[in-house]
Amino acid sequence: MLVVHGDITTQHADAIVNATDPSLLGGAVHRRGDPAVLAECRALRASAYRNGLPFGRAVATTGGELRARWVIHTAGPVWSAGEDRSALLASCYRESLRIAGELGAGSVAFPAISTGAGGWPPGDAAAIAVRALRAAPTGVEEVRFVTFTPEVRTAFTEVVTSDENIAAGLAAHPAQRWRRLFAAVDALTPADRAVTWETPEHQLPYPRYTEGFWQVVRLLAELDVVVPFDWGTWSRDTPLHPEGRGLAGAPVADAARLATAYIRGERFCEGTLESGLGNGALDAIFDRLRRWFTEEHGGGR
Amino acid sequence: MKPIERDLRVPMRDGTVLLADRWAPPNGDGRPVVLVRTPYGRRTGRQLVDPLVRGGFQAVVQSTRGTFGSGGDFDPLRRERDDGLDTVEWVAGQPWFGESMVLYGMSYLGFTQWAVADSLPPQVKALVPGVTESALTLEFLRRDGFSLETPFSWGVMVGVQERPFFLLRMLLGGRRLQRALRTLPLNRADTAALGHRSDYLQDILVHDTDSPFWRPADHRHRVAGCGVPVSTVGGWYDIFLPGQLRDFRALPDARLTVGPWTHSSPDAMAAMATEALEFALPLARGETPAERAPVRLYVMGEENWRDFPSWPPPGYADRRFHLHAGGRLSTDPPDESAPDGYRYDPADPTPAVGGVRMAFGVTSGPVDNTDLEARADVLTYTTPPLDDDVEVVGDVRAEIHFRSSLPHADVFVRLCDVGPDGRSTNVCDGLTGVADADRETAVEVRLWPTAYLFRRGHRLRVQVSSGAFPRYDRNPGTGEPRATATTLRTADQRVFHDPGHPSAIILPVREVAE
Repeated sequence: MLVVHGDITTQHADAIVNATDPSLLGGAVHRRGDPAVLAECRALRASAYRNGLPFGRAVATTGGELRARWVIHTAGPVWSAGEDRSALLASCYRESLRIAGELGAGSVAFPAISTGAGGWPPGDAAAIAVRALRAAPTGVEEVRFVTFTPEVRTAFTEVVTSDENIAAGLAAHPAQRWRRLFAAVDALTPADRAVTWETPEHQLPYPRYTEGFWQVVRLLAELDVVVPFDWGTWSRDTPLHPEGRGLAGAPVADAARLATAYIRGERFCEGTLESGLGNGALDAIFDRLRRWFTEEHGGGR
Repeated sequence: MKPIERDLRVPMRDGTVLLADRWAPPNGDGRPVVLVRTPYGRRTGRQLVDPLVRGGFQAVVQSTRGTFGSGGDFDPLRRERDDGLDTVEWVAGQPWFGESMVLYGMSYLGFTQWAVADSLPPQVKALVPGVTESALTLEFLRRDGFSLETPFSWGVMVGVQERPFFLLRMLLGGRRLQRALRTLPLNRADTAALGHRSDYLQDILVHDTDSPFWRPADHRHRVAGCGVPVSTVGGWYDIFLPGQLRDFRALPDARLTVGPWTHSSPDAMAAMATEALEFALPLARGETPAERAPVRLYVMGEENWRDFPSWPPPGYADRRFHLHAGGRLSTDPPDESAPDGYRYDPADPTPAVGGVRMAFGVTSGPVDNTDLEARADVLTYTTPPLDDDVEVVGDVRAEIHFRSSLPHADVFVRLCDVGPDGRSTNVCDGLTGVADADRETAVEVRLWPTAYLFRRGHRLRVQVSSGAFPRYDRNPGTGEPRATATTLRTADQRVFHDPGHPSAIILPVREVAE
């Protein structure tokens, strides 16, 4: 789950969601204008949705000449001060995701539904969106929010990178996969922890990590311990960086953030992971994840 | 010579403004206009424009949408229809416009002509598209044979062309680009080459020829409706040749020139300038161009230009040259024999050597094939020295009875000329991807068309292999989508040549009058 800024109609995803209105003729996709999508929407209005697409429901059409194979149209409710319509907004996400799953889409790009003309407060809309998508069982592997204004981007980024959502991302993986990680950690030998440096001629030196260690790093990425967020700023400001001191008492999301800072950091500065092995940060991360697994994930039982 | 007016603002129907320069001598107003629409920068077009303006045109060179100061986003190939029509209309309405214009340019610049070919206003008198076709690049994205190198390196080139020291970057970055082509999965190759993701490079991996995504880039259906005369110039080693000849055959009124050229050959550009001045300019002036045969081809081997009435020319009949055991090639049908075999390893893929290629720093065109033919994953079949000349002009295809140990494989076939000194030089080639390759199949391979005279004493040679990397993407053997494939499996290939499975190359050979 991640937040990107830009134009949803140009996203590379199997399906994109068009936040429309009951007429099925509104939204970013139609503003861009694709003849095939428009024709299918008109046909839907003439047949199944003679009275319009109800709020909270969704329907799929071809992607026409867009990058996406499918466009999923959903009618987002207008925000009301006097009436709680959050169930309808949650339903937009749930229904769109369900249809994407049925189509076999592996990746879906969502706009911030109802935050534009719908007038929904961005923070509230983001919380509803993330909660609805997290609660829905799905075969879709990647969900992306595509935001158009800075305020909405900030709101969605805040919710997506919150402690709760990061922990929810970890909890979405089955216990079996977590056990594989801990087994791989336990199997690390002193040789795996001692990093050697190659010093080829005419080339900068580089560290050589063992296959066993890379296995652990790969599993961390697969388990969504590596999370997209602004790890540069975070690691500058947090007392947890660099050694992971205090991680035992911090939310499990901080273990993921610290792991991200090390694993991503290796790409920019070779040897970052080696220092994480040496200063205890990686072990603090493993310990925190293990405790979360037994006490909170419930996988230990 | 310098532009007489720079950065003319040309408004499009959606409000976007594209920029154009006008080139004309003093008192050049009213001359026929040659209109060029280019994504590569309108100032680099000097060599292109100079001979045309000296010859009698005034020139308008426009930067296409999203390039070099023109408004909007660069969405390669997909936006040229409306922009082209709006530009033609704008030119016709300018005070310096006289009575006529022609459209001109190579490659992408030629493609922009096809995008409007069926809706031209009467002021447009001729088109001169060179080394191009009406469905530009879509042949590269065939589901059964993905040309990796050319569209990828093109995407990288247009991705950096507006940065400082662009040419230097491309020249120095050649090795980085070649390394990037080996990236697995391929959807990370853009980052390896450019340092960031590229929309276009993702698009070519995800959307193949038939995807509706490319519909706005496919103008094949407009060619037959082209209402003005066309002169089209191509090269035997050009990346767009098959589509260009298909377009020529669909055109109601056209002439064709094909030389021994690769895509970026300066000689092809010179031939186009000649056509602009000897064909398009008279038409623009309401005159009749000097008589010339409709088809003028350079016959390689003979090293001579010859005139023909049509393409493919009459007087050539298909002759099958059969593959035989022991690496022999002959017009006789094959005898009972065991198949030949080789092992194809996508981790060490059969390389592309010369031929139809276009990328910075790679050699294209005819080259020595000795090293390639020495590889264990390349089979060769060769005739004895020829008793008489064999002249081949037209479409070339092969039928290879083939089986792989894996369900997914490619068959690459190349025709070569072996000189008396034993040196083997490539003439033309092609590749077909095979599904259900683990069952024996007659694989049809379309090679590039050619015009070639095999001299007496020379020998014909056919190569059969399973790849030409990175011109074509390597076949991983798994059937995984090309964007995300990561597993490479080694395949054992079999090529049959017996009476029940007569593998052959089929050449259009000149019929000798009895």
